[in-house]
Amino acid sequence: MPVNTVIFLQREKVNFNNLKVVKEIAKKLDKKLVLLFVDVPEEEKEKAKKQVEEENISYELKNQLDFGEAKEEIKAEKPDLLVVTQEKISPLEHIFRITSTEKLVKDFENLDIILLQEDADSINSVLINVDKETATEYFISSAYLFVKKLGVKFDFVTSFYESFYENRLKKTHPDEEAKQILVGMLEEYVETVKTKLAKALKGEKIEFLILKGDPKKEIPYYARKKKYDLLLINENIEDKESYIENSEISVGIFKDKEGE
Amino acid sequence: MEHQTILGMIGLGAKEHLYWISILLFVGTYTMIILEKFFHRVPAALLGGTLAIFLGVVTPEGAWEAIDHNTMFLLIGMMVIVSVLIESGFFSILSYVALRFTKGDPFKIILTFTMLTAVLSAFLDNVTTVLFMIPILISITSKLKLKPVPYIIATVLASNIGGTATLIGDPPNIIIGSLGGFTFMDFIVNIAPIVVITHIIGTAVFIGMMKMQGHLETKVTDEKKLQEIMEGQKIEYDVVLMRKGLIVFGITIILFFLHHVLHLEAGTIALFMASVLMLWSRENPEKIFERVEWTTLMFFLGLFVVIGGLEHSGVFEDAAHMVAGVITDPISGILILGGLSAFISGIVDNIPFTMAMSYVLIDLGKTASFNVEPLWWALALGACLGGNLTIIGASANVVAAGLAEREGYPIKFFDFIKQGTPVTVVTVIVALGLLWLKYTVFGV
Repeated sequence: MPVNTVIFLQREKVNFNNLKVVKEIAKKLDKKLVLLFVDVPEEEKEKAKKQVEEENISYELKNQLDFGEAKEEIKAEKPDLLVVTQEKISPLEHIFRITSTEKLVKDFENLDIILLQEDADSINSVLINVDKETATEYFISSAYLFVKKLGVKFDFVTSFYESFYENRLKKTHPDEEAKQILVGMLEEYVETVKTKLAKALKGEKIEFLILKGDPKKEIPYYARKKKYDLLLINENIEDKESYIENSEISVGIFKDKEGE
Repeated sequence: MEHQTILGMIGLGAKEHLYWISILLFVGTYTMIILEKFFHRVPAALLGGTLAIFLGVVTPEGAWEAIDHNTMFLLIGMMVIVSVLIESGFFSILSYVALRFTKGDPFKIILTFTMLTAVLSAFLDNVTTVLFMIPILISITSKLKLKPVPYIIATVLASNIGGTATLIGDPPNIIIGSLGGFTFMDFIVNIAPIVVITHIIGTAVFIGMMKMQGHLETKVTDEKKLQEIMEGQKIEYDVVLMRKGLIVFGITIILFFLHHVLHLEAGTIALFMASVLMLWSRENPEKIFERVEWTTLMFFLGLFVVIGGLEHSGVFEDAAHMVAGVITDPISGILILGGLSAFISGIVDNIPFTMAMSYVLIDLGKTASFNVEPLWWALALGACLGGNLTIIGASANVVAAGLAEREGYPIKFFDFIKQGTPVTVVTVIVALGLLWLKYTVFGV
C-alpha cells in the first residue's frame, strides 16, 4: 500500500493508546503523520505532539473546531490511510447505538480506514478477509504490503457458507448426492480464492484459513476468538457494516481499487 | 347447482348422516393424534381434514373458510420475525449475558433462565424459546457438573407458564384470541397479571423441589474454570440484523397493543411486519423460511377443516347446549372448565382441544344467559398451564425432551411428572383461583 500520509483523526480528546499504534504505522511505513484534532484541549495536543516528536516521525498538527470541516479536510488531503478511534461498546449496547466512527465510515469512499478500538495500543496480529465475490487483487496486495511493512503476524481467511448451500441442496438432492455436490462447491470456492491470492501476490505461495459459516458472523467471531488485533476487509464487501459492528476488535476497511 | 358428494352418491348425504360422519371424523382424527406412537399428528390432522372434503362433509370453499386466517397469519408472521432474530444471534447474546450474570451459581442459573424463558415465551412461540434455551442450558449445566434434566424441566415449565400471559405466547391463546375475538390488550389486562403471580409461585415451587432434591448445590467453584466455561460459549451474531429484527419486533408489539384501534387483526400486523423485515434485512427468504414450523402450520390447517366439518354439521351447537346444562354460571364455570381444560391438555395436545372448546364457547355465547368471557380466560389458563402436567402435554415439552435425549440426557416420563405435576397443580389452582377472585370480588 503506497501510503504517503496517515491521518489520525481525534475528536474532543486524544486516545493515547491509539496514538502509539498510529506512530508505529507511520514509522514502519515511513510516512508523514497528520494529527487532525477537532476540539481537543491544548494540554492533550501538547502531550500528543511531544510523544510524536520523541519518535522522530515527520508530522503535522492540524486543528479544526468543527467536525464537518475536519471531514472536508480529509477529503481534500486524500490520505492513503485514515485512523480513527472506535468506541468500545458491548454487542447489546451496539443494537441500540451506532458509534460516531461507524457513521463516519459512510462519509468516505475509496479511502483506507482503520477503526482502532479504544484500548488498542499495538497491532501484533492481523486477519485479512478474502471475500470470494468482492475482494480485488488490489485489496489483497495492498493489505499484504501493509502487514509485511508492519512486520506483524497475519493470516488470510475466507469463509464458505456451507450450511446455507447444504440446506438448499438437500431440498433437491438425496443427502449423499447433496454432500458430494457440496464438496465440489467447496473445492471450487477454495480454488477461486487461491487463484485470487496467487494473482494478487504475483505467485507468492501463501496459506489461507478456510472457515465454514456465514462470513459476516463467522469471520468476526474467529477474529475475536483467536484474539487478532486487527481485521482487514475490503471496501466493497457485502454487509460491510455487519463486519464492523460484529467484530469487537479493530477493523480496517481497505479500498478495492487504486485511488484517484 | 347442488354440490354432489361421495356420501350423497351412496345415500348418506342427508344432514343427520353428515352430523354423525363429522363426529366420526373428529373422533378418528383425535384418536390418531392421541396415539402418537403409531401416527404422526400432522398427517393425521391433514388426513382428517382432507377426508372431510373428500367425503363432502364440507365443500372445498367451506374448508377454506373454516381455516382461521388470523391464527395462520399470526403464526407465520411471528415465526418469520423470530427466525430473523435467531439468525441474528440475539438469543446467543442473551444467554451469554445470563451466564455472566449467574457466575456458575445454580440458584442464579435456574432463576435467570426460567425468568428469561418465561418473558421470551410471553412474546415468542414456546417451541422457539425452548429450542433456543435448552441447548445452552445443557451446555452450561453439564460444564458446571450439574444434572441438566431438572434444569431443563424447570425451563420448560417456565416456558409454558410464560406463554400463557399474552395473545401471542402460546398457540391455544392465538386460537382463543382469534375465535373469541379478544385483542392483545384483553390478554394483557385479564391474563397477564394472573400469570405473573402464578409464575412467581410456580418458580418458588420448582426451586423448592430442586433444593430438596439437592440439585442446587454448586459443583464448580474455581474462578478460572468458570471463566473458561464462559469463554467457551460460541457467540456468533450480526448486530445490524439484530437491530433491524428488534426494531420490527418492537413495532409489531406496539401495533398489537393498538390493533383494535387500527381495526387490524393481529395476524395481519404480524404478517405485514414479517414481510417488511424480510425486505429490509435482505436475508435470503429460503434461510428464514427454514425455521418456520411448517409442520405445525399444516397441523393447524388440517384441524381447522376437521373442526369446520363439525361446525358445519351443527355439532358444536348441540355441544354448547350440553355444556350450558352443566355450566349454569360463569363463576363455577371457571373452575369446571379451567380444571377440565388443564387435565385434558396435560394428557393430550392442547391445540386441538382448545380449537374444539373454542367453537363450543362460541355457540354457548349465542345461547347462554350469562357472560361467557370468564370461561374463555379459564380455557386459556387451563389449556396453557395444563400443558405442564406431563411430558406430552405441550409441544414445547416434546421438543425439549427430544433435544435433551439427543444430547445424552433423556427425560423419563415419570421424571417429568415428578416435577411437572406438583407445579401444574399449584399453578392451575392459583391461576383459576385468581381468575375466580377477579370476577367474584372485583366483578370484572
